[in-house]
Amino acid sequence: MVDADQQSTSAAQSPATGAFGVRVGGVRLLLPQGESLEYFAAATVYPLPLAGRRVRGMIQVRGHPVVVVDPGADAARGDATLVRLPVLVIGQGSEAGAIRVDGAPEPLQAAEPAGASAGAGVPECGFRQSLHDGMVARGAGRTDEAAAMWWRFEPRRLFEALAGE
Amino acid sequence: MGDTELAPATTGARPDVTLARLRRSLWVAVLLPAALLFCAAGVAYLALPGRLGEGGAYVPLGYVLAGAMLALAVAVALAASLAARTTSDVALPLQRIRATLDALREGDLGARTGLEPVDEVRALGHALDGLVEERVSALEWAARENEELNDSVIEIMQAVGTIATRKDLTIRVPVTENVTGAIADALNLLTDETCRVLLNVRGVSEDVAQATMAVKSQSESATRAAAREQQEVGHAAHELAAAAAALNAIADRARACDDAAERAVEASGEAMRTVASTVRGVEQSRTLIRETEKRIKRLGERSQEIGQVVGIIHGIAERTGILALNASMQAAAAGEAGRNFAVVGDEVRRLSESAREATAQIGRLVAAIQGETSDTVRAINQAIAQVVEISRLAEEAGAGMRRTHDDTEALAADVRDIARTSSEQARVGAALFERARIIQEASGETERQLSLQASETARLVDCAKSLLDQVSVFRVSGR
Repeated sequence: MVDADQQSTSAAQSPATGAFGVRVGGVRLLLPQGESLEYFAAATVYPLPLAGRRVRGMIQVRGHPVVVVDPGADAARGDATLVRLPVLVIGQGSEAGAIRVDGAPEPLQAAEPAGASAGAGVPECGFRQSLHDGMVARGAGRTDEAAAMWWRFEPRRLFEALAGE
Repeated sequence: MGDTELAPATTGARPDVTLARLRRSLWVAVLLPAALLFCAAGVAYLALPGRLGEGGAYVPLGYVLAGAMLALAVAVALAASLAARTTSDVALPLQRIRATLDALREGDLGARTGLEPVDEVRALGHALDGLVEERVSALEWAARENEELNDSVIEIMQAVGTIATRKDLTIRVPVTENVTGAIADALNLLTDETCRVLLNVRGVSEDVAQATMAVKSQSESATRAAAREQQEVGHAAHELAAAAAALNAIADRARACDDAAERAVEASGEAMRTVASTVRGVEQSRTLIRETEKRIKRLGERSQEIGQVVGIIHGIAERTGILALNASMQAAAAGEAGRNFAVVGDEVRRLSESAREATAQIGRLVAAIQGETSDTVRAINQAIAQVVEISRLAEEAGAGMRRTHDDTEALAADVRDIARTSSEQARVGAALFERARIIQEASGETERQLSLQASETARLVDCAKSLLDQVSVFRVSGR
């Protein structure tokens, strides 16, 4: 929260580059540009029975149901408890998907992060394989954090990989 | 009348011979003249003139007188013859008796009358001879008895002299059969009794000597004790004087303590009032602190309300920020067409961040206020607890002060009693000292009297020894 505030304050003091990053399961992900993005700080997530272990449930975004994947979920809960989670909706309408994030997206100062080949240097995390499948290239963003690495990914492929686990 | 007296029974003579003769001579010598005189008187009577003038015969007076004279002469002659006869029968024996008595008086114890008891006078002489014979025999017997008695008396005197010389009471006086035997028995009895008495006297003297020695020893002990007593009494008087001085000092100090106790009572009373005032002040402070606590709690509640409002504002800012973020992301997704919109969204996002930052600061301030308020409430609660404790301690101090005040008053009363008692004891101590002085003088007098008694006892011891020596001079049986 403090970091986000500092980042927001820093971002407010810098000109916008149009690039945004978000933290998912402790991994910095570079959000794809030109994609509709919408952040919900506390979206009501309805559980889906018999769904995959990475599928947390569904939310309703202006009349459209959107599936929420949670890379941090490690086992199928199988309960029907409603939870309010921070999620980021990527895409619009029936093509939209939501992912649980650690916090609000951050505007990045680096307009074009450095790219990296797919599969090279995938960070250690709970969804390393899905991230590997959904990753298109490794890029570097420039924020206040020195040499912070932001991972570029394909949302559709990441969602499919997570939902398939 | 003297017939029986004149007739000795032991003469052996014929009785009444001489007496009859004398009786007859007397009758003749008396009766015959008397008869003649009677006759003469009768005649004279008859011859009285009166009688004759009346016709009687007349008798001349001369005849009458002549007849009387004749009768008298006859009577004298008869009396003379009888006297001569009586003289021959009486005078001679009487002369011999007289001569015999003269010889006896001259010391001739062999003189005798030698008369035979033919008549009374001779019988008298014969009896006188017998009597003299008996008296001489008795004298001789008495002389012998006297000689024997003299011998006995001499023996007794010799024995008594020996006893007196030798002082030997065991010597016995010889006892004879004469009258001195009783004297000797009496003397022996006397010596026995004297011996017994002397033994008793010796025993008593020894007892007296022992008792006197004991008395002397006791007197000496009493003298030493009196001297020691006088010394001790002197010490006691000195100590009593010191005690009296100490008691006076105690009395002075007790009076000083009494004054101090009075001051302590006043001070404790003042302290008790001060403590009571302090308790009231503490109670007021406690009430004031409780009121302050309530106000601070209300202030905390108000700050909480502010915090709630700040939270609402923060939430609005958050939502505004998210909305701005979403707007920015939408503008970014719109590309060049959304650039202006992105600028607006960015400004809104900055505004929301400023609001969020301000609300965060307000929240921090409110939290700080709430923390400070909580700390203040805790501090006030602690202060209240301390005030309560202080109040309790003050009340305890007040109670203790009251007890101290009461104890101090009791102490003051006791000190007053002590002061009064000490004064009385000082007075009694002075009286005791005076009495000790008097006792010391009396003890000195007692010591002097005991010394005199000791000297008198020493004299008594000497007297007892002397008495014992005097008694021991006599030799008595058994010792």
